Amino acid sequence: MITIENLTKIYNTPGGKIRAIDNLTLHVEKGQTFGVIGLSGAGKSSLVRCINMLEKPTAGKIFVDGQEITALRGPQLRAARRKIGMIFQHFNLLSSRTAFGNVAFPLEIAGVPKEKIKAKVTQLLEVVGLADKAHAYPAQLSGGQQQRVGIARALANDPKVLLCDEPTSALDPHTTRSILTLLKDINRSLGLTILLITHEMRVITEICDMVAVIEDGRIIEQGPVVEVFMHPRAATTRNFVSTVMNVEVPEAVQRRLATREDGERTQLLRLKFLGEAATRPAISSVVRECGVAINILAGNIDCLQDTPFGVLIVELIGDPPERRRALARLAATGLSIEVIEDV
Amino acid sequence: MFENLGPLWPQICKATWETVYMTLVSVLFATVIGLPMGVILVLTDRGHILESRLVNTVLGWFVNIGRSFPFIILMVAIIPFTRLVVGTFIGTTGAIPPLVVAAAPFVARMVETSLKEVDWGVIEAALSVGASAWQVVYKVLLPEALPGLVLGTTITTINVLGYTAMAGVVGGGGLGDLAVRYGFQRYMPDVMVVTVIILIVMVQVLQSLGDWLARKVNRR
Ligand SMILES: Nc1ncnc2c1ncn2[C@@H]1O[C@H](COP(=O)(O)OP(=O)(O)OP(=O)(O)O)[C@@H](O)[C@H]1O
Ligand SMILES: [Mg+2]
Repeated sequence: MITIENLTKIYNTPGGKIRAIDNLTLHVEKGQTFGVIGLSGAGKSSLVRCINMLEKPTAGKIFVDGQEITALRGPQLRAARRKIGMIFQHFNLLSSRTAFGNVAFPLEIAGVPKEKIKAKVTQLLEVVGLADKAHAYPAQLSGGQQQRVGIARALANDPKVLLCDEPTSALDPHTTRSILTLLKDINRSLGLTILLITHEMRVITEICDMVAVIEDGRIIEQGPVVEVFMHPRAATTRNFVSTVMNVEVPEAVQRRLATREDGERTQLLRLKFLGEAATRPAISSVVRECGVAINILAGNIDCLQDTPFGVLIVELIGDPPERRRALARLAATGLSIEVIEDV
Repeated sequence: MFENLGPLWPQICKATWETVYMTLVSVLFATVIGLPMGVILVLTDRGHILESRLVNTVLGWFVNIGRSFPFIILMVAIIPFTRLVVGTFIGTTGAIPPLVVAAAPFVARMVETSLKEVDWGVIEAALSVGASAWQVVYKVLLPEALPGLVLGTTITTINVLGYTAMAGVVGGGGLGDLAVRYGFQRYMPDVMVVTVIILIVMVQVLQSLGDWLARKVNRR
């Protein structure tokens, strides 16, 4: 649905040229919720803004729904933009218009007749749960409500693609969740393709199917969220994963382990489990069958959308042969095991 | 002390009307000319939707030259132009072209300042749904900047009101002219006092009206 080929964006500033996007290639399938995550200045905003040509690419091609956006000018570009919805970090609503007026705006721009506008806007405000706020001005709405108006506005011309530039970064965690849920609902019910950029891993795990990690204008890692989450390779990706899954050995445990004497008989493991494995009583059966003891030191269990996902730090206690047997048994249950060497 | 007011009352009324007439008509035409100039100054600015170095610079210079002329000199300097436009360079009508020429650049800068206050994000939101430059102007920039434009127009009107006092030089009449001719030259302090009071009241009323209207249209 979105294909980006060798995109480069260079800003000419008085201080010199800034290469915000560097030969970036990316593909988003129809119906996907694709997340792009990166640190501040990585080039995330530049990337989404190139997709609807709010920013003119320096080089490269962008296709949306088979149409080469980067080749369009004037009226053709404006027509194409109607099929690409966009929501913003700071909502960007017209303060002089009510919620109704804001949602009506894109329809007026497209020259839709008045009666049709009224019906469409009423329906959209219902979809985003703001039917009762139709006549409120943005200044009278909370951040979450303003973003709902922004979403309704973005959907007004029945776009095929929704671009989201940090849609929840100005919202509190509770409101963030409700906005993300709304986006996911829209993605499912309308089959809308969503490209979302964020600097929060939480947002990715909550609604995205696919994720790309962007650094210095390049994609350093990408894949299904579950895959990238389970096996992050790049250091930046690991850092992002650890922001939602803090799986370090607690300091108190580290101190205790450093001062104990039978260190020879214990091993520290980091176990990651996904989906099925999480529900299986893997650990207890290993303890029963292999003659070892397992001490859970730290852990975190969460959901990647509908899939349970967890990380445990455990202490495996036993003689070396039993421990080896236990490790093999654990691996066989589908757990991902990492032996932590230096405690 | 107010012995002159009785006989001069019709003249005072006439002068008041002339002032109101000159001010409103001039502001109207100055807005008709200055508003598009202000809009063009904004749109052709660096990084804006119709960026054009050439247009922006030339128009900017033009506006600055207009604004740097002292009104009294401008009035005399453009007499040929005034004659061409309204057929005469004296009288109340003859005072209007110089007032318009003096006020239009002021309006242009005022409009420019107000429109630049509009959040760039809102403009981008409009562009992202396919708005044209013209739609951005009349559906986004002008409505969003309306409170600022109302206040700016209030200031413009009060300024023009001040300029009309000088219009007496070309026989434009008005309160300022009356004050000079009777109050000053014939030494009638009561006429002077009354014209000043009428001007003060006008300014107060204009400012309050402007403030009220700006508040009314402000949705922030
Ligand atoms: N209009 C601009 N002019 C000049 N440089 C720019 C412009 N926009 C972005 N940049 C630069 O390009 C780089 C990437 O910026 P971008 O806004 O795309 O990053 P980002 O990942 O969205 O960051 P953030 O999370 O802070 O929003 C930065 O170095 C930034 O300073
Ligand atoms: Mg950004």
